[in-house]
Amino acid sequence: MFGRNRTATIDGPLTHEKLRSWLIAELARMVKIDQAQVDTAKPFQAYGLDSRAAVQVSGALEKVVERRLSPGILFDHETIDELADHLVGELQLERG
Amino acid sequence: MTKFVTLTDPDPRFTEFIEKSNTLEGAKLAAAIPKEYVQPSLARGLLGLAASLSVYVGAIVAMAVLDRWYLVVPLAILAGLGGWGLHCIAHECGHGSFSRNRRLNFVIGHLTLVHLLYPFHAWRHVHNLHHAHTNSLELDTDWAPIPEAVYHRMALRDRMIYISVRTWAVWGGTIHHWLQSGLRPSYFPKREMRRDARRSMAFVAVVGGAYLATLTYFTGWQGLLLYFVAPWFATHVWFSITTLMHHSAEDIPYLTSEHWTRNASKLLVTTDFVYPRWLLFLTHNISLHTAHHVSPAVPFYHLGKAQAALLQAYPEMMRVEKASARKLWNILRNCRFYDPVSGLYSTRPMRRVVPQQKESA
Repeated sequence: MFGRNRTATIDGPLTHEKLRSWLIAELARMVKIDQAQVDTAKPFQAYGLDSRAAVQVSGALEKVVERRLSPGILFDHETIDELADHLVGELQLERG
Repeated sequence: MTKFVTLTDPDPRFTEFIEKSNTLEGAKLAAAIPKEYVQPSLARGLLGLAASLSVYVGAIVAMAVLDRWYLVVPLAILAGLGGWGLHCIAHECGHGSFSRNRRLNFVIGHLTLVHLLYPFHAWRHVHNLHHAHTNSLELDTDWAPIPEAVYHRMALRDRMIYISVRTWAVWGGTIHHWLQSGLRPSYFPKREMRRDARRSMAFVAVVGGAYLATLTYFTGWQGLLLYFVAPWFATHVWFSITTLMHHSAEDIPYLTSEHWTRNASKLLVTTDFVYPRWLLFLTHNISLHTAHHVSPAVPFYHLGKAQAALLQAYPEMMRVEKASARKLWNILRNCRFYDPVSGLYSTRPMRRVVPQQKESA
Protein backbone atom coordinates (compact mmCIF):
# COMPACT_ATOMS: atom_id res chain seq x y z
CA MET A 1 0.00 0.00 0.00
CA PHE A 2 1.24 3.52 -0.85
CA GLY A 3 4.24 2.02 -2.64
CA ARG A 4 5.67 0.47 0.52
CA ASN A 5 8.11 -2.35 0.07
CA ARG A 6 6.14 -5.14 1.77
CA THR A 7 7.21 -8.51 3.11
CA ALA A 8 6.39 -11.32 0.67
CA THR A 9 3.78 -13.90 1.61
CA ILE A 10 3.61 -17.63 0.88
CA ASP A 11 0.54 -19.19 -0.67
CA GLY A 12 -0.32 -22.83 -0.14
CA PRO A 13 1.54 -25.39 1.97
CA LEU A 14 4.99 -24.46 3.17
CA THR A 15 7.85 -26.38 1.55
CA HIS A 16 11.62 -26.17 1.71
CA GLU A 17 11.75 -24.45 -1.68
CA LYS A 18 9.06 -21.91 -0.82
CA LEU A 19 10.78 -21.10 2.45
CA ARG A 20 14.11 -20.68 0.69
CA SER A 21 12.53 -18.43 -1.94
CA TRP A 22 10.88 -16.35 0.79
CA LEU A 23 14.21 -15.90 2.56
CA ILE A 24 15.86 -14.83 -0.69
CA ALA A 25 13.10 -12.30 -1.38
CA GLU A 26 13.14 -10.98 2.19
CA LEU A 27 16.91 -10.61 2.30
CA ALA A 28 16.91 -8.86 -1.06
CA ARG A 29 14.18 -6.52 0.19
CA MET A 30 15.97 -5.75 3.46
CA VAL A 31 19.35 -4.99 1.91
CA LYS A 32 17.86 -3.49 -1.28
CA ILE A 33 19.50 -5.74 -3.88
CA ASP A 34 18.15 -7.82 -6.72
CA GLN A 35 17.05 -11.35 -5.77
CA ALA A 36 19.39 -12.75 -8.45
CA GLN A 37 22.32 -11.30 -6.51
CA VAL A 38 21.52 -13.30 -3.38
CA ASP A 39 23.91 -16.17 -2.68
CA THR A 40 22.16 -18.61 -0.36
CA ALA A 41 25.49 -19.90 0.99
CA LYS A 42 26.74 -16.44 1.95
CA PRO A 43 26.38 -15.36 5.63
CA PHE A 44 23.65 -12.80 6.36
CA GLN A 45 26.19 -10.47 7.93
CA ALA A 46 28.17 -10.36 4.70
CA TYR A 47 25.17 -8.55 3.20
CA GLY A 48 25.44 -5.88 5.89
CA LEU A 49 22.33 -7.10 7.68
CA ASP A 50 22.61 -5.56 11.15
CA SER A 51 21.17 -7.08 14.32
CA ARG A 52 18.05 -4.89 14.26
CA ALA A 53 17.23 -5.95 10.68
CA ALA A 54 17.97 -9.59 11.57
CA VAL A 55 15.43 -9.41 14.39
CA GLN A 56 12.91 -7.88 11.95
CA VAL A 57 13.45 -10.75 9.52
CA SER A 58 12.96 -13.27 12.32
CA GLY A 59 9.72 -11.50 13.31
CA ALA A 60 8.44 -11.69 9.72
CA LEU A 61 9.58 -15.31 9.47
CA GLU A 62 7.50 -16.19 12.56
CA LYS A 63 4.39 -15.28 10.60
CA VAL A 64 5.45 -17.43 7.66
CA VAL A 65 6.15 -20.52 9.74
CA GLU A 66 3.41 -19.64 12.26
CA ARG A 67 5.45 -20.34 15.36
CA ARG A 68 7.53 -18.36 17.80
CA LEU A 69 11.20 -18.17 16.83
CA SER A 70 14.29 -16.94 18.60
CA PRO A 71 14.98 -13.29 17.68
CA GLY A 72 18.56 -14.44 17.15
CA ILE A 73 17.79 -17.26 14.74
CA LEU A 74 19.71 -15.55 11.93
CA PHE A 75 22.80 -15.55 14.15
CA ASP A 76 22.44 -19.23 14.93
CA HIS A 77 21.92 -20.23 11.30
CA GLU A 78 24.03 -17.82 9.34
CA THR A 79 23.05 -18.49 5.73
CA ILE A 80 19.78 -18.97 3.88
CA ASP A 81 20.69 -22.59 3.18
CA GLU A 82 21.46 -23.31 6.84
CA LEU A 83 18.35 -21.54 8.10
CA ALA A 84 16.04 -23.20 5.58
CA ASP A 85 17.51 -26.63 6.40
CA HIS A 86 17.07 -26.00 10.12
CA LEU A 87 13.43 -24.92 9.73
CA VAL A 88 12.63 -27.83 7.44
CA GLY A 89 13.84 -30.18 10.17
CA GLU A 90 12.01 -28.31 12.94
CA LEU A 91 8.76 -28.04 11.05
CA GLN A 92 9.08 -31.42 9.32
CA LEU A 93 8.45 -29.88 5.92
CA GLU A 94 8.69 -31.47 2.51
CA ARG A 95 11.90 -30.88 0.62
CA GLY A 96 10.00 -30.10 -2.54
CA MET B 1 21.23 -15.17 20.46
CA THR B 2 22.88 -18.42 21.48
CA LYS B 3 26.08 -17.19 19.81
CA PHE B 4 26.60 -15.08 22.92
CA VAL B 5 25.75 -17.74 25.44
CA THR B 6 28.19 -20.60 25.11
CA LEU B 7 28.80 -21.21 28.81
CA THR B 8 32.48 -20.90 29.61
CA ASP B 9 32.37 -21.63 33.35
CA PRO B 10 29.00 -23.07 34.41
CA ASP B 11 27.99 -22.27 37.99
CA PRO B 12 27.72 -25.40 40.21
CA ARG B 13 24.04 -24.49 40.76
CA PHE B 14 23.50 -24.50 37.00
CA THR B 15 25.21 -27.90 36.72
CA GLU B 16 23.02 -29.23 39.54
CA PHE B 17 19.95 -27.90 37.74
CA ILE B 18 20.91 -29.70 34.53
CA GLU B 19 21.48 -32.94 36.46
CA LYS B 20 18.00 -32.66 37.96
CA SER B 21 16.59 -31.81 34.55
CA ASN B 22 18.18 -34.96 33.08
CA THR B 23 16.57 -37.16 35.72
CA LEU B 24 13.15 -35.90 34.60
CA GLU B 25 13.59 -37.13 31.03
CA GLY B 26 10.54 -39.08 29.94
CA ALA B 27 8.67 -38.50 33.24
CA LYS B 28 4.90 -37.97 33.02
CA LEU B 29 4.67 -35.16 35.56
CA ALA B 30 0.94 -34.54 35.28
CA ALA B 31 0.26 -38.17 36.26
CA ALA B 32 1.31 -37.24 39.82
CA ILE B 33 -1.80 -35.02 40.11
CA PRO B 34 -5.01 -36.99 40.69
CA LYS B 35 -7.57 -36.56 37.91
CA GLU B 36 -10.26 -35.26 40.26
CA TYR B 37 -8.21 -32.11 40.87
CA VAL B 38 -8.73 -31.11 37.25
CA GLN B 39 -12.54 -30.96 37.63
CA PRO B 40 -13.83 -27.38 37.64
CA SER B 41 -16.67 -26.24 39.87
CA LEU B 42 -18.52 -23.27 38.41
CA ALA B 43 -19.91 -22.32 41.84
CA ARG B 44 -16.43 -22.10 43.37
CA GLY B 45 -15.18 -20.16 40.39
CA LEU B 46 -18.06 -17.70 40.70
CA LEU B 47 -17.39 -17.36 44.44
CA GLY B 48 -13.79 -16.41 43.67
CA LEU B 49 -14.98 -13.93 41.08
CA ALA B 50 -17.46 -12.40 43.57
CA ALA B 51 -14.75 -12.07 46.24
CA SER B 52 -12.35 -10.22 43.95
CA LEU B 53 -15.05 -8.06 42.41
CA SER B 54 -16.24 -7.09 45.91
CA VAL B 55 -12.73 -6.10 46.97
CA TYR B 56 -12.16 -4.10 43.77
CA VAL B 57 -15.50 -2.29 43.74
CA GLY B 58 -15.65 -2.00 47.55
CA ALA B 59 -12.28 -0.26 47.75
CA ILE B 60 -13.25 2.19 44.99
CA VAL B 61 -16.62 2.94 46.59
CA ALA B 62 -14.91 3.42 49.97
CA MET B 63 -12.51 5.87 48.31
CA ALA B 64 -15.46 7.87 46.98
CA VAL B 65 -17.63 7.73 50.10
CA LEU B 66 -14.97 8.29 52.76
CA ASP B 67 -13.20 10.94 50.68
CA ARG B 68 -10.08 11.18 52.89
CA TRP B 69 -6.78 11.93 51.18
CA TYR B 70 -4.83 9.69 53.56
CA LEU B 71 -6.99 6.70 52.64
CA VAL B 72 -6.39 7.00 48.91
CA VAL B 73 -3.15 5.00 48.79
CA PRO B 74 -4.22 2.10 51.07
CA LEU B 75 -7.56 1.85 49.30
CA ALA B 76 -5.89 1.95 45.87
CA ILE B 77 -3.60 -0.90 46.97
CA LEU B 78 -6.66 -2.82 48.14
CA ALA B 79 -8.44 -2.11 44.85
CA GLY B 80 -5.29 -3.32 43.11
CA LEU B 81 -5.48 -6.56 45.07
CA GLY B 82 -9.09 -6.96 43.95
CA GLY B 83 -8.06 -6.12 40.39
CA TRP B 84 -5.25 -8.67 40.54
CA GLY B 85 -7.74 -11.25 41.84
CA LEU B 86 -9.97 -10.47 38.85
CA HIS B 87 -6.99 -11.05 36.58
CA CYS B 88 -6.41 -14.40 38.31
CA ILE B 89 -10.01 -15.33 37.43
CA ALA B 90 -9.34 -14.35 33.81
CA HIS B 91 -6.25 -16.57 34.05
CA GLU B 92 -8.53 -19.49 35.00
CA CYS B 93 -10.74 -18.68 32.02
CA GLY B 94 -7.73 -18.58 29.71
CA HIS B 95 -6.77 -22.10 30.75
CA GLY B 96 -10.35 -23.39 30.58
CA SER B 97 -10.34 -24.20 34.30
CA PHE B 98 -13.09 -21.73 35.30
CA SER B 99 -15.80 -23.74 33.58
CA ARG B 100 -16.19 -26.55 31.09
CA ASN B 101 -18.04 -24.13 28.84
CA ARG B 102 -15.55 -22.51 26.47
CA ARG B 103 -17.89 -19.64 25.60
CA LEU B 104 -18.54 -18.83 29.26
CA ASN B 105 -14.79 -18.88 29.91
CA PHE B 106 -14.29 -16.37 27.11
CA VAL B 107 -17.12 -14.08 28.27
CA ILE B 108 -15.93 -14.03 31.90
CA GLY B 109 -12.32 -13.72 30.72
CA HIS B 110 -13.11 -10.62 28.68
CA LEU B 111 -15.11 -9.02 31.52
CA THR B 112 -12.50 -9.68 34.19
CA LEU B 113 -9.77 -7.96 32.19
CA VAL B 114 -11.70 -4.81 31.28
CA HIS B 115 -10.48 -2.98 34.40
CA LEU B 116 -6.95 -3.38 33.00
CA LEU B 117 -8.02 -2.57 29.42
CA TYR B 118 -6.34 -5.88 28.60
CA PRO B 119 -7.69 -7.69 25.50
CA PHE B 120 -8.42 -11.20 26.78
CA HIS B 121 -7.41 -13.24 23.73
CA ALA B 122 -4.16 -11.31 23.30
CA TRP B 123 -3.34 -12.04 26.93
CA ARG B 124 -4.46 -15.68 26.57
CA HIS B 125 -2.30 -16.33 23.52
CA VAL B 126 0.80 -14.67 24.94
CA HIS B 127 0.27 -16.54 28.20
CA ASN B 128 0.06 -19.84 26.33
CA LEU B 129 3.36 -18.97 24.63
CA HIS B 130 4.82 -18.41 28.10
CA HIS B 131 3.60 -21.86 29.18
CA ALA B 132 5.00 -23.48 26.04
CA HIS B 133 8.42 -21.87 26.52
CA THR B 134 8.79 -21.20 30.26
CA ASN B 135 12.31 -19.98 31.05
CA SER B 136 13.52 -20.50 27.50
CA LEU B 137 16.11 -17.77 27.03
CA GLU B 138 15.07 -17.15 23.45
CA LEU B 139 11.35 -17.90 23.43
CA ASP B 140 9.77 -17.13 26.81
CA THR B 141 7.49 -14.11 26.55
CA ASP B 142 7.74 -13.12 30.24
CA TRP B 143 10.74 -11.58 32.00
CA ALA B 144 13.43 -13.37 29.94
CA PRO B 145 16.80 -11.71 30.63
CA ILE B 146 19.32 -10.82 27.95
CA PRO B 147 23.12 -10.99 28.05
CA GLU B 148 24.71 -7.73 29.13
CA ALA B 149 26.64 -7.56 25.85
CA VAL B 150 23.34 -7.53 23.95
CA TYR B 151 21.97 -4.87 26.33
CA HIS B 152 24.82 -2.53 25.48
CA ARG B 153 24.04 -2.83 21.78
CA MET B 154 20.36 -1.92 22.22
CA ALA B 155 18.88 1.49 21.46
CA LEU B 156 18.84 3.92 24.41
CA ARG B 157 15.04 3.78 24.76
CA ASP B 158 15.06 -0.05 24.87
CA ARG B 159 17.91 -0.05 27.39
CA MET B 160 16.02 2.38 29.63
CA ILE B 161 12.89 0.24 29.55
CA TYR B 162 14.79 -3.01 30.10
CA ILE B 163 16.78 -1.86 33.11
CA SER B 164 13.91 0.16 34.64
CA VAL B 165 11.40 -2.68 34.76
CA ARG B 166 14.03 -4.89 36.37
CA THR B 167 14.88 -2.35 39.06
CA TRP B 168 13.05 0.75 40.31
CA ALA B 169 10.11 0.48 37.89
CA VAL B 170 9.33 -3.19 38.38
CA TRP B 171 5.64 -2.19 38.52
CA GLY B 172 5.92 -1.27 34.85
CA GLY B 173 6.91 -4.76 33.68
CA THR B 174 3.39 -5.88 32.90
CA ILE B 175 2.43 -2.44 31.58
CA HIS B 176 5.26 -2.75 29.06
CA HIS B 177 4.18 -6.31 28.28
CA TRP B 178 0.62 -5.06 27.72
CA LEU B 179 1.84 -2.42 25.26
CA GLN B 180 4.11 -4.90 23.47
CA SER B 181 1.78 -7.86 23.13
CA GLY B 182 -1.67 -6.98 24.46
CA LEU B 183 -2.29 -4.10 22.09
CA ARG B 184 -0.27 -5.33 19.11
CA PRO B 185 -1.80 -8.21 17.14
CA SER B 186 1.31 -8.35 14.93
CA TYR B 187 3.15 -9.77 17.95
CA PHE B 188 1.58 -13.17 17.30
CA PRO B 189 2.93 -15.71 14.80
CA LYS B 190 -0.41 -17.28 13.84
CA ARG B 191 -3.14 -15.65 11.79
CA GLU B 192 -5.91 -16.92 14.12
CA MET B 193 -4.11 -15.46 17.12
CA ARG B 194 -3.95 -12.06 15.43
CA ARG B 195 -7.65 -12.27 14.53
CA ASP B 196 -8.59 -13.19 18.13
CA ALA B 197 -6.43 -10.38 19.50
CA ARG B 198 -8.10 -7.84 17.20
CA ARG B 199 -11.56 -8.99 18.33
CA SER B 200 -10.64 -8.64 21.98
CA MET B 201 -9.16 -5.22 21.31
CA ALA B 202 -12.48 -4.16 19.75
CA PHE B 203 -14.28 -5.43 22.86
CA VAL B 204 -11.98 -3.43 25.13
CA ALA B 205 -12.39 -0.34 22.96
CA VAL B 206 -16.19 -0.52 23.15
CA VAL B 207 -16.81 -1.78 26.71
CA GLY B 208 -13.74 -0.23 28.33
CA GLY B 209 -14.27 3.00 26.41
CA ALA B 210 -17.92 3.21 27.51
CA TYR B 211 -16.93 2.53 31.14
CA LEU B 212 -14.27 5.21 31.15
CA ALA B 213 -16.53 7.74 29.40
CA THR B 214 -19.31 7.12 31.94
CA LEU B 215 -16.92 7.30 34.88
CA THR B 216 -15.42 10.55 33.61
CA TYR B 217 -18.86 12.03 32.89
CA PHE B 218 -20.08 11.44 36.46
CA THR B 219 -16.89 11.91 38.47
CA GLY B 220 -14.70 14.14 36.29
CA TRP B 221 -10.98 13.81 35.62
CA GLN B 222 -10.24 13.43 39.32
CA GLY B 223 -12.66 10.51 39.45
CA LEU B 224 -11.03 8.91 36.41
CA LEU B 225 -7.67 9.19 38.13
CA LEU B 226 -8.80 7.94 41.54
CA TYR B 227 -11.32 5.29 40.56
CA PHE B 228 -9.71 3.90 37.42
CA VAL B 229 -6.06 4.87 36.93
CA ALA B 230 -4.98 4.33 40.56
CA PRO B 231 -6.52 0.81 40.80
CA TRP B 232 -5.20 0.02 37.29
CA PHE B 233 -1.72 0.99 38.36
CA ALA B 234 -1.96 -0.86 41.69
CA THR B 235 -3.17 -3.99 39.89
CA HIS B 236 -0.09 -3.84 37.67
CA VAL B 237 2.12 -3.60 40.77
CA TRP B 238 0.68 -6.92 42.02
CA PHE B 239 0.75 -8.36 38.49
CA SER B 240 4.38 -7.42 37.79
CA ILE B 241 5.83 -8.46 41.13
CA THR B 242 3.98 -11.78 41.21
CA THR B 243 4.90 -12.82 37.68
CA LEU B 244 8.52 -11.73 38.11
CA MET B 245 8.89 -13.77 41.30
CA HIS B 246 7.29 -16.90 39.84
CA HIS B 247 10.23 -17.89 37.64
CA SER B 248 13.14 -15.67 38.66
CA ALA B 249 15.77 -16.38 41.31
CA GLU B 250 19.54 -16.21 41.41
CA ASP B 251 19.78 -19.99 41.01
CA ILE B 252 16.93 -20.56 38.53
CA PRO B 253 18.31 -20.34 35.00
CA TYR B 254 16.77 -19.22 31.76
CA LEU B 255 17.96 -21.87 29.34
CA THR B 256 19.22 -21.92 25.78
CA SER B 257 17.59 -24.42 23.44
CA GLU B 258 20.37 -26.99 24.00
CA HIS B 259 19.55 -27.18 27.73
CA TRP B 260 15.81 -26.36 27.80
CA THR B 261 13.46 -29.31 28.31
CA ARG B 262 9.70 -29.36 28.61
CA ASN B 263 9.67 -31.24 31.93
CA ALA B 264 12.24 -28.98 33.59
CA SER B 265 10.28 -25.95 32.37
CA LYS B 266 7.21 -27.27 34.17
CA LEU B 267 8.74 -28.48 37.43
CA LEU B 268 12.12 -26.89 38.09
CA VAL B 269 11.95 -23.22 37.16
CA THR B 270 9.12 -22.09 39.42
CA THR B 271 9.06 -21.03 43.06
CA ASP B 272 5.84 -21.62 45.01
CA PHE B 273 5.42 -18.77 47.47
CA VAL B 274 3.52 -19.31 50.68
CA TYR B 275 1.31 -16.32 51.43
CA PRO B 276 -0.88 -15.77 54.50
CA ARG B 277 -4.20 -17.63 54.06
CA TRP B 278 -6.26 -14.49 53.43
CA LEU B 279 -3.87 -13.44 50.66
CA LEU B 280 -3.88 -16.90 49.11
CA PHE B 281 -7.69 -16.64 49.07
CA LEU B 282 -7.76 -13.20 47.46
CA THR B 283 -5.12 -14.07 44.86
CA HIS B 284 -6.77 -17.40 44.11
CA ASN B 285 -3.65 -19.44 44.97
CA ILE B 286 -1.76 -17.95 42.04
CA SER B 287 1.48 -18.25 44.03
CA LEU B 288 1.14 -22.06 44.22
CA HIS B 289 2.45 -22.06 40.74
CA THR B 290 4.40 -25.23 40.01
CA ALA B 291 1.31 -27.44 39.96
CA HIS B 292 -0.28 -24.91 37.62
CA HIS B 293 2.62 -25.27 35.17
CA VAL B 294 2.55 -29.04 35.40
CA SER B 295 -1.19 -29.13 34.79
CA PRO B 296 -2.68 -25.75 33.76
CA ALA B 297 -6.20 -27.17 33.82
CA VAL B 298 -6.19 -27.50 37.65
CA PRO B 299 -8.65 -24.88 39.01
CA PHE B 300 -7.33 -22.49 41.64
CA TYR B 301 -9.21 -24.13 44.53
CA HIS B 302 -7.44 -27.47 43.90
CA LEU B 303 -3.93 -26.05 43.59
CA GLY B 304 -3.05 -26.64 47.26
CA LYS B 305 -3.90 -30.34 46.98
CA ALA B 306 -2.21 -30.60 43.57
CA GLN B 307 0.92 -29.01 45.05
CA ALA B 308 0.88 -31.56 47.91
CA ALA B 309 0.58 -34.44 45.42
CA LEU B 310 3.50 -33.12 43.37
CA LEU B 311 5.60 -32.61 46.49
CA GLN B 312 5.01 -36.22 47.42
CA ALA B 313 6.03 -37.42 43.95
CA TYR B 314 8.98 -35.05 43.46
CA PRO B 315 10.10 -33.96 46.95
CA GLU B 316 13.60 -32.91 45.90
CA MET B 317 12.52 -31.03 42.81
CA MET B 318 10.08 -28.36 43.97
CA ARG B 319 10.80 -25.00 45.56
CA VAL B 320 8.35 -23.85 48.21
CA GLU B 321 9.33 -20.70 50.05
CA LYS B 322 7.76 -18.08 52.26
CA ALA B 323 7.13 -14.87 50.34
CA SER B 324 9.12 -11.89 51.58
CA ALA B 325 10.22 -8.45 50.45
CA ARG B 326 13.81 -9.64 50.76
CA LYS B 327 13.27 -12.25 48.04
CA LEU B 328 11.94 -9.56 45.71
CA TRP B 329 14.89 -7.32 46.59
CA ASN B 330 17.33 -10.16 45.76
CA ILE B 331 15.75 -10.57 42.33
CA LEU B 332 15.81 -6.84 41.60
CA ARG B 333 19.40 -6.59 42.82
CA ASN B 334 20.88 -9.70 41.23
CA CYS B 335 18.74 -10.95 38.36
CA ARG B 336 19.19 -8.29 35.71
CA PHE B 337 21.21 -9.91 32.94
CA TYR B 338 21.73 -13.41 31.64
CA ASP B 339 25.27 -14.47 32.37
CA PRO B 340 26.89 -16.37 29.49
CA VAL B 341 29.70 -17.46 31.79
CA SER B 342 27.78 -19.17 34.59
CA GLY B 343 24.44 -19.89 32.89
CA LEU B 344 22.65 -17.98 35.66
CA TYR B 345 22.56 -14.20 36.16
CA SER B 346 25.36 -11.65 36.04
CA THR B 347 26.75 -11.37 39.52
CA ARG B 348 28.09 -7.87 39.03
CA PRO B 349 25.05 -5.94 37.84
CA MET B 350 25.52 -2.86 35.72
CA ARG B 351 29.21 -3.52 35.20
CA ARG B 352 30.50 -2.02 32.03
CA VAL B 353 31.47 -4.64 29.46
CA VAL B 354 33.49 -4.08 26.35
CA PRO B 355 31.08 -4.47 23.43
CA GLN B 356 31.95 -7.38 21.19
CA GLN B 357 33.29 -6.75 17.74
CA LYS B 358 30.74 -5.80 15.13
CA GLU B 359 31.17 -9.05 13.23
CA SER B 360 29.60 -10.94 16.14
CA ALA B 361 26.59 -8.58 16.33
